[in-house]
Amino acid sequence: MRRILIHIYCISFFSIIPVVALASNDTSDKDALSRQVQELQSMVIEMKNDYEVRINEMQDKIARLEGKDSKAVDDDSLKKELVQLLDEEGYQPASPYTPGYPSGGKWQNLMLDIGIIGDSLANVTWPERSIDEGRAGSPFAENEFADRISLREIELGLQGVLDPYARADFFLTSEDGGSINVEEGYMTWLTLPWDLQVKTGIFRTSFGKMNKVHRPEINQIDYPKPIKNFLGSEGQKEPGVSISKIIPNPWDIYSELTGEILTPSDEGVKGKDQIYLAHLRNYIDITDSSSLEFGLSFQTRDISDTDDATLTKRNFRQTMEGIDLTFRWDPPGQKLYKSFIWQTEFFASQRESGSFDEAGFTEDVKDINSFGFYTFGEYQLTQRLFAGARFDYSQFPTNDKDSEWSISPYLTFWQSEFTRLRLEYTHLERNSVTMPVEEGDNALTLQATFTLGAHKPHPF
Amino acid sequence: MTKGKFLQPTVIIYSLMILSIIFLDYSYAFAKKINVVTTSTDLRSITEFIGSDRVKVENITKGYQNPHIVDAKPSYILKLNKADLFVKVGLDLETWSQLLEDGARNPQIRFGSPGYVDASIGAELLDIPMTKIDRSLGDIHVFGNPHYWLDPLNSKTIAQNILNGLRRISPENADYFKENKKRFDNEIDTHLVKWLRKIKPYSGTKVIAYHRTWSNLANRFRFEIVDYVEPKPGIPPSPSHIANLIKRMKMEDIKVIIKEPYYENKVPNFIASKTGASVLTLPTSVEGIKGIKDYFVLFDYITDELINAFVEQGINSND
Repeated sequence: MRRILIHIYCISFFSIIPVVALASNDTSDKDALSRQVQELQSMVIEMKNDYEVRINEMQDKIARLEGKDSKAVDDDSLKKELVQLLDEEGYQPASPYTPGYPSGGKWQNLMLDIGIIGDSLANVTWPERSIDEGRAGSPFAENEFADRISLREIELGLQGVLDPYARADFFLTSEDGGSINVEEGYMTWLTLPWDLQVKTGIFRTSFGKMNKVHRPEINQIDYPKPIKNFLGSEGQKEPGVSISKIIPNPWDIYSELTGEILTPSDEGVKGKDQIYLAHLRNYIDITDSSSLEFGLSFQTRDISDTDDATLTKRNFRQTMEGIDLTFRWDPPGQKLYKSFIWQTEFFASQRESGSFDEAGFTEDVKDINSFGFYTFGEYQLTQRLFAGARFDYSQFPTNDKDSEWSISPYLTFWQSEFTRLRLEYTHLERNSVTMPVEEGDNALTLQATFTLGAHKPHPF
Repeated sequence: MTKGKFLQPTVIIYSLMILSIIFLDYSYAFAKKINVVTTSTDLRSITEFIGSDRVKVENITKGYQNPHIVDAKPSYILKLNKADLFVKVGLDLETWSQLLEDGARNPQIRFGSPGYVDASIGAELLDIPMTKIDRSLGDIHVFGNPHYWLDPLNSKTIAQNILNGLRRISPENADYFKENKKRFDNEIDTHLVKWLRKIKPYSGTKVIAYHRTWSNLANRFRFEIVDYVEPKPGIPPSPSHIANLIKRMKMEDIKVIIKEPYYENKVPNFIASKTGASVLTLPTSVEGIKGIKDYFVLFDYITDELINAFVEQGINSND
């Protein structure tokens, strides 16, 4: 290419020189000649630049091709060396994974996840008294598992996917070896439009935080007093329909609103006496290790009462509100085997109450305003040992004059992910203006909880 | 500088900017990135390589966290709710992720959907149980050892699964992702030769491990795990097991104990104090230890640390 340039230079030079020589004889054409020379010069420069660009491009191409060849050679030698290194002795050939099934065969995966939880208690109380002695007419719940060893509960869980859109969960329980009850049985549509989920069947209601957890899986041996007094001795579970939605927000906070319509399982409930329930759950990660959850609950219902003499029916409204707060500290791996949880729930109830006169009219209608709360903290001492304490205080929805409180320190030992032992001491005090109460109760309970089969992780 | 001279370049710059806005194609710059959620930092690192500037990747577990035990936090549900692609290690490692998938209300990333990627498909697995299994064997994994990403060669299979997922949800970028996958494979080959060359002299060296995390790593880099601090996976060591282990280490002159960052140090340190062995805490994942910023650095670090420990213990190389 450089030769071409030299030729151009030479041709240009020899063509310019005669023109310049002739021009020198004629001064009148001097200006015109000078212009021509300039034009020729610029032409030559332009050609030179053009050729240089082309030469550079060609040189780049050659360099690239040469590089490619050497890279191909490098790749080949790399692969050869790799094969040689990989072929050396000591490597155990492994099996490529194809989605399949362990020895049981394909039918296993079409089966349900089946799990059984056993929850057994050994309980001593003092001062000594029979299980429900002197409790008739009292708002205070009896300790039905006092002074005995019992298999308090067996829970059979059957869970699985129905189709691409829904799943079903069933939990059947038997208490103390008795009849089988449906603890929960519902199907859930998981991916409805507008980020909705719908659940229907019998389920533990979304009132508060702990009510949703099955009794063998809570952090203490039994539900707190306010849950037992306000929602039922084993919490609140009702047949109904539940709709929930994740609420979008600019702060990227997990916020879920749940609305439920439930038919109370109370005896004599008529079609219109439904429970209307709402729960707002908000969750935020404070750091990678700590989080805060804040929930608000509300439910309202009519409780019908019928005068036996006149058969007059009157609905009394009950409304309940709840606040739940949960703080967790659980460093993911940095601080080994240390964690802490603090959880508190407040319950308030406003319940209309009254009596019937001889003509069947209601009289003495008034509101009973009652309140209760529990709070507990639990700290992880070692890999398997946890220590905690819970304080309960509760009035009663039907009786705002009486109250009870208890304190329960406990130790939990996880033998493995599937077996747990717990020792809990409870001191309970009752205050009543309506009836005489005994001195405080003390109970020492040992709990063994074990899971067989599939064990779905607990919701957070 | 006079006002005129100052204005002239300003006018030129603004004119160029206006022209570039008119003529240049900004579709890539403002294109919505593909939102990927991975369960682990390793999967995030590989996805970032394949997806490059066309993906935004978030991970769920931390690199220093035990991947078997993870709280299914609602904030993770929120991430999955917005994800276009969900990449899992698979097998039965992330039993906790089912709650997240169910809670996310996102049909795109559910099992069997285009946005669901099981990274384990086709990966070479070890420790697959061949006999009757039950929980008396500890936390046994029915499909095989789920820590298969610790064999760098398996990362090519993982990358292929991720590539397949990205192609399904973004076919218009398929060529781009394919090209990146090719580069990834080449990088792995180049690095693997380097790692294998480095560690080859110590082939067959015996070590003790804490948990059954390292089978794929040991198999690929040819060191031998002869026993474990845990008597069975997930079961804490008993005094008699520790005593037997110390005896065996002394008899067989085993000088290195390897452990994961998320297991306790007390027992390994005790064993080391009785046997003169070194306790080596190795990251199992990207970001498992500070400075492990990607999948390649993870193996740079692991191979360097293993060799340092072997040298420190006076283990003779085979060369």
